[in-house]
Amino acid sequence: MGERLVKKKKPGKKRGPKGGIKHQPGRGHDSKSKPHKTKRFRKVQARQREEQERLAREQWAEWDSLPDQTRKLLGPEADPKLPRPTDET
Amino acid sequence: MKPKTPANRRTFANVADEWSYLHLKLLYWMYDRGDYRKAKLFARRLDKLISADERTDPSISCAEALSLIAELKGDLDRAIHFRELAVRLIHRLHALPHNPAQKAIARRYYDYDDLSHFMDLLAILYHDSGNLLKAIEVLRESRNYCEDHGIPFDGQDLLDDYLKENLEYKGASATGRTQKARSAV
Repeated sequence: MGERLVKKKKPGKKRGPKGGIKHQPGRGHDSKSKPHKTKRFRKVQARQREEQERLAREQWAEWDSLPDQTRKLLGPEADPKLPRPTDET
Repeated sequence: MKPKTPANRRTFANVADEWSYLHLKLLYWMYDRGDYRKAKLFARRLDKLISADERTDPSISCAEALSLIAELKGDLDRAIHFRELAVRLIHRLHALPHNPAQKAIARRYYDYDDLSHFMDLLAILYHDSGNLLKAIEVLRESRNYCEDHGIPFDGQDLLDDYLKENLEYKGASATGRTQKARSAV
């Protein structure tokens, strides 16, 4: 006889004993592991961000120290190349 | 050895950042590589930035960029006009009363050797537009300026070439005159 199309039941999430992921000693300590990489990338990013901020501060301090006439004469070539740091007025 | 190509960039922090990038690229393709087709790509973008700039006062960097763009388009009169303007503006910048710190900043952008370099480029423009005497005059002025400020003069070869060219021209015209006089007799 003809086959009936019956929607198969999806197998549910595998449930183990209560308590989440099994404890695996050493997880996250390897240099290839996610938490280790995240920490490393964060450090690099922070260092780069600080460097950019320092450069921006220097550029804007120079720009602010110049008289108006000099700024006009120098033109866009001498304008700061980075946005003004947010905590500066 | 070929000079290193400036890195390609797509994102810029602000207009000044983009300006600086386009100017560097333009100079590289125009003078270092002599590829006018590539240089024109950057010149077009720089021209747009200049048109969009709201500043009305003439600035040195603007005058220089406009001179380069005009030179690239083959409009030598316009190129000379803007190069002269840039030279005048650098003189004005050096004449401004600055404290030592401000002077150091201003000189970092346009120092004595930059002015001399601009004058040499102006002389080349005069030469290319057929005004040899004016080119020699500008080069001599540049040499005197360098001597006054104790910096080396880079355009000596150029000056020698132009003086030689002038002598040849004078010689040729004198020969032409004597031949004309002889044929008249």
